[in-house]
Amino acid sequence: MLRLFFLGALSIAFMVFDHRQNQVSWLHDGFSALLHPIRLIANFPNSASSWFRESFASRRDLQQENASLLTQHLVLKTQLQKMESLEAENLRLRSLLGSSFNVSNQRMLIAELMTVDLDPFRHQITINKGANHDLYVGQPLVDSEGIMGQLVRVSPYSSTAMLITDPGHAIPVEINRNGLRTIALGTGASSELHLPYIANNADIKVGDLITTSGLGGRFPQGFPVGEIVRIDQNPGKNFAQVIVQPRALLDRSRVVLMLWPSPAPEEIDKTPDEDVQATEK
Amino acid sequence: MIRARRQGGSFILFSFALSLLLSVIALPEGFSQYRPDMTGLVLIYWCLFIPERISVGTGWLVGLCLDILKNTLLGQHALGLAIMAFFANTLHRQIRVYPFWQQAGSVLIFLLVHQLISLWVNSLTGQHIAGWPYWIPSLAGIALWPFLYAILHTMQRFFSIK
Repeated sequence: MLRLFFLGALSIAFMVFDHRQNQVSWLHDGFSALLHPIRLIANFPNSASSWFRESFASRRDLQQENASLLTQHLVLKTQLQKMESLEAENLRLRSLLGSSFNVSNQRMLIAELMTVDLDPFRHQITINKGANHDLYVGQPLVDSEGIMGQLVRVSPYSSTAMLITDPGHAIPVEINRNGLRTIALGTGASSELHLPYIANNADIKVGDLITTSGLGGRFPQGFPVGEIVRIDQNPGKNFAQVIVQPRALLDRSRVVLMLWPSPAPEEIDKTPDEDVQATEK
Repeated sequence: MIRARRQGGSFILFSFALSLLLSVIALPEGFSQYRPDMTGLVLIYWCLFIPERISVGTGWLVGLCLDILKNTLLGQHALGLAIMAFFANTLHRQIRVYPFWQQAGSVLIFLLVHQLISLWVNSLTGQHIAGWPYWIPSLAGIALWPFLYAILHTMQRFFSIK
């Protein structure tokens, strides 16, 4: 009985310290590293099946895949050429305006999902990289289509990420067409985000692309988040009901990209000043 | 005497490790919300049948492992499993002599106690609360109990764990 009281009090203390302050992370990290074999074994069927698929793929399949990848590579490279000139032009124009712009030259890392099931009522995933790869809490992760979420717990060999559809997640976004800023909340449904603070008369349309606004400093600016799929304007209410479908393949992606958003653009700040001085002379 | 008491420790450890594995291994899409609480069931079994060795402390430690694997709040499952282990330990004399269905009923109540504590913690920390499907794992757990009982009982006799 005494032991129950002691352990109960201890677990309540743990919960209090874990909930907001993250003060028991040393304990969490230690245990997590100890329990890593269990995660690896749970992931084994998945990794074994993908190994088998890769090892016993037929030559023709591989050739086809290679051909399609080459075409895709060519297409992407062509688009990138245009992108480079556009970026240079954008930078020139911005320097004329005297404002700075963060050019993407970001550090990134590819991580793989581990098939470890967490709480089914929360949208969280486990990935196979952790603190020993310099990951940090709050780090954004993306897939090939858009923003997926952010890390909420980093252990030495694995990390847990919260997806943007988790009911406890919010992400600062803007509408790509007109730059209208708002916040997208997760709903708990894996294909819906909710924009609760859009006024009834705001300029939005079905099909508008939503991108990250970069405000709040956690997510880098300009990554696609989703598309507006439904707008319910009820004159009796203050705000419209706007539903966004996430771009990222939240429940299908196996490989995710970890981003290190570059810090405040100090070096780039210098160029416009120099340019202005040069024109003054 | 002491040697006899310590027999089978590695099997008990193995059973807990396996139950932790089964509580995180991927299930087919859509089934994961019906996943029974394997760790809770194994803990209840050992608490009922070797209460001198497995009790509140073990429950708490296993719960802590479950918290870390499931990424819940550190201490959430630990508290639930410790309280569950306490009840199972205190009532083991009565429950052991109950007829089978009554035994299963008590196990269901233990599983519900664990889930109720988790529910309290979830609502206190402001997390999304699912409706009635939240309670399905306990029902799935009770459906699994006869099989688990048969397996662990055979193993306990085989390794003569007392």
